[in-house]
Formats: sequence, structure tokens, C-alpha cells
Amino acid sequence: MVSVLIVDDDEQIRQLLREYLAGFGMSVTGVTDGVAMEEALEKNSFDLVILDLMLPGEDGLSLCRSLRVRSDIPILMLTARGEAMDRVVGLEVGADDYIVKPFEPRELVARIQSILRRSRAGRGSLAEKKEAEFMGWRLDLILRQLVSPEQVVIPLSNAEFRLLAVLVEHPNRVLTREFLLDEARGRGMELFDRSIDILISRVRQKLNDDPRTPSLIKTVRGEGYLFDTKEPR
Amino acid sequence: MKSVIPDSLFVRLFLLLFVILSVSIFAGKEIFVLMGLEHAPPPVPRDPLRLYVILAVRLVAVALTAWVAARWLSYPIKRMANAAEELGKNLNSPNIEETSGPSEVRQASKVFNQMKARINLQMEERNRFLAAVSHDLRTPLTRLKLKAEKMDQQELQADIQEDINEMASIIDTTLDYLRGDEMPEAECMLDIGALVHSMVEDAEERGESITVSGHSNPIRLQPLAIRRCMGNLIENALRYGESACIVIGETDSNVVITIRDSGPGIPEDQLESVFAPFYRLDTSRNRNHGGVGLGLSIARDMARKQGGDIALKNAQGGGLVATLLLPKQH
Repeated sequence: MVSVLIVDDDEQIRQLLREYLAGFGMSVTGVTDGVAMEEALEKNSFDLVILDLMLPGEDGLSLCRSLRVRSDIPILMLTARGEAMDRVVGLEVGADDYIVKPFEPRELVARIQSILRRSRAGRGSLAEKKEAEFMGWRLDLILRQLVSPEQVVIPLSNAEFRLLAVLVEHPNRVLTREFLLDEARGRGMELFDRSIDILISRVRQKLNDDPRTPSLIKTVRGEGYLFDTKEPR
Repeated sequence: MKSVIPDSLFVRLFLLLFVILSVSIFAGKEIFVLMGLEHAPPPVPRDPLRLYVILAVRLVAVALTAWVAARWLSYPIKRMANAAEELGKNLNSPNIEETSGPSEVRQASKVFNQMKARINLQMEERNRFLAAVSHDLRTPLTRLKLKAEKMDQQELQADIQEDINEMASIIDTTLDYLRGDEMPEAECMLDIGALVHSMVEDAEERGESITVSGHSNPIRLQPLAIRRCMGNLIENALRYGESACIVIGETDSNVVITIRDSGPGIPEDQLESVFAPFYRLDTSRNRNHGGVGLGLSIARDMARKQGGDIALKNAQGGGLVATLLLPKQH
């Protein structure tokens, strides 16, 4: 059973989340502020902390920062603001992810599960890994955009970003369509075999990769695709 | 008639000093002679060339003196004007020096710095207030969302969720508008075509009816600002026009993006007024479309910050066309 600590000053939200998350096999403890959070963390161990940004007393950002210094417990920030600027700020203080109020409850569950999966796999959180580099290109994992060797910023759609992130994470290996489909699928979104090919060709276009003689994303006939970074690993 | 010479403190002082010095040099002596207090000067030398040289040398000397003095006098004011201009662009600009210059300027500088501190304090208060309001409005919405989750009637649940999302988006745009440019964003070379394509693909993923064609060279822009601008234009087209058809192109000096929808358009006499904040079209034409009437004013604000602009016109054969112009150099 996953145990989650929620720090939010609204009692109803704590209660509602407790009920909702219980339906997904999570046991939830709720506290009001930073002081109570410290007490709860001393008494019990938790798999994840959900931290509201606006709290009475010490605010969520500074709590997150001080918590991160002494512990690597996964932290999910709840916040009121949705600009990418704030996203960066939230992750820079050491949060693993960030969700904007009012959120879709299902989205919250998905985020929690993905953070836990990442932390179990020891893959490191997004906060630790803010960007990935390959062949002079840079993939910004926070702003979800690509930066070319000429320092031109190239925004990606959500699907393109998810696909490229999967490719970058598994370089120099043949990846099947099914695998890519599975990993790059958005929530509640239907993706078919063919759409992976279309997505690949769009990403190739953004990477300036000639589809006839691709040098970065190579087609492996009958098997899938290979992200070639040509760097000895 | 407008003079070619700029009317600045420096020019005024220069002219004043020039006249005073000239009069005192050329006329001063004559007055004394006329009043009989001094002997008449020796007869003017016959050599006209020598006369001119003397005159020229004197004039140059007078002009130079007047120039130096005028600069010396006008410099403190000029410095303060520069600082005021800097403050207009950036509220975090350094304070004006209060310890040098004539006492009047020192006093003005002090008042100026105090005023700046007060403005900054008010801005901070306003931002804190906005953050608190935003949080307080979102908390009940979050509760509602969680409560709706427990409902049995699927249809009603979806309805309520849609309403909650709309309220959240109204809060977002209103606060965005009020917050304005609190955070100055850095510019970068942006592939604007890729930005528009990616936004369209995300909208397609959500099931919207939207198409895009064309590309352009990268230009220097604030990426988040332009994303917000485009986002509002796309949202408007989808909300009032049901579908959006976007074309990206470029001229010698501009990147041009047109967004055409298939809605009823806007009456000709209101094509400009819809940019005003909170302006709503006649409700009988646009009932129940949601939104608070800030989308276009925010979009234009963002475009103008990049040195560009947005214009609206009704297309032949129906639909509204929004044209976003972004200069390649600004």
C-alpha cells in the first residue's frame, strides 16, 4: 500500500483526497501546515508528499526546499499558478512534479504513479535531470522544447515531446512500435501503429533529419526505430 | 512651424549664455563709450580679413564657453530624466544618486527614489493579493472537482466538470491580465512555425477542428508571451468560430500568421473595440460562449510587446480573420 502525506490547509480537500486516493490503494494522511508535516514525517514513513504552495506559516516552496535538503522523498507540488515560469520555480526547489489547482483527480493519480515509478526505478526525477543532450541538440525536459545546435528554440507538441523523451532515454537500441506507442501515449488518447510513424516523421522534421537518409532516428525495417547518438556508451 | 532645433534645457541655456556673452563682449564696450565713461576705441583696422578672423575667433570662444556651461548646468537634470526613463521600462532599475548635483536636483532625486520604492511596494502587495485571490478561488473549485467525482449521474458529472474548467480558465485569464508583465521574460531565437504547429497538434489531440500550413524562419521573441498570444487567438477561433485554419507566412520584414474561423464574424464597427478589456459583443449574437472578454486584449498586448500587432477583419464568404504580424527585427 502506498502511503501519501498531504499538506494542505483546506480540511475538505484533505478529506476528499483521502477518500479518492483510497480508491486507488493509497493510504492518505493529511496535515495543515509545515509544523504538522515535520511531526508526521518523524512519526511515520511515507512514499510521497503532496505539498500545497500556499500554506499558513511557512509556504510550500520553502518547505519543499528544506525538505529536499535532508530527504529524497518524492514531492508533488499543488499550486494555483500555471505558467511555465512557475513550473520551473517549483521544480528548482526540488519538487518532482507539479500540478495546478483545480486538477483532474485522475490526472493527480497518474502523476503520483509516474513519480513513484520513476523513484522506484531509480531513474532520477525530472528535477535532477532538467535536460538531455545529443549531437549538439538539447531537449529541455521542463519547458518541453528542443534547442538546436544554432540555439534556436523549437517547441514540441505534447505527443512529440513524449516520443522524443522516450527515444532520448533509450538511445542506440531498436525500439518496437508497440513499445513507443505504450510509452508515448497521452492520457485517454488513442494512438495507433500508423500514428507512431506520423509522429516519428514530425519529430524528424523538427530535428532536421532527412527522412530518406535519417541520421538520428533510423528506421529498422520490420522492427521499429533506433535513436542513433553515435556516441560510445 | 516646428523648429529644427530641439527645445531642451541644454539648448535654452546654450542660447542664453551665447547671447549674454556676445552682448557683453561686443556691445559692452560701446555702451561705456556712449556713456562717455571710456575713450573711443582706436579706429578699426583697415584689413577686413583680420577683422573677420578676430570676429570668428571671438564667436568660437563664446560658443565654446556657452556650450560647456550649458552642459554643466543641464547635466543633473538630464541624468534624472534618463533615470526616470529607465524606471519606466524596469521597476528594478538602480536608484538615482542622491548625494551629488545641485541641492534642488538632490531633493528631486530623493523624492523620485521614494516614489519608486512606494511603487515597488504597491506592486509587491498587488502580486501577493493576486496570488492569494487565485489560491482562494481555486480551492473551492478543487473541492468541487473532487466532489463531482463521487456523482453517479455521468452526464451531469461531465456538465459540472466542464463548468469548473471554464471557471478555472476565467480565473487564469483574468489574473494573467491583472498581473500583466510582472515577470520580464528573456528573448530567444524561436522557431515560431514549430510553435504554432505544436499548439495546433495539441489542440487536434484534444479533438478540435483545426489545421495549419506554412513555415517561417526563426525570429527573436519572448517564447511564453507569444505562446499566450497564439493560444488566445486559437481559443477564440475555436470558441466563436468552431474551427480554425491557420496559415504561416513571411514578408521581407514580418512573419505573418493568419487565423481564420468559420463563425459569424464581428460587425465592422466593432472590429477595433473588441480589443478593449472586458468588451463583449452583443449578447444575442454570442450567447453562452464563456470567456470574460480578455483574450484579445491580452493577445494584442503580448504581440505589441514583441513590436508586432494584431488586426481583425471579416473574411469574404464568412468567418473572422485575425492577422498577427511579428517584425523580424525590432
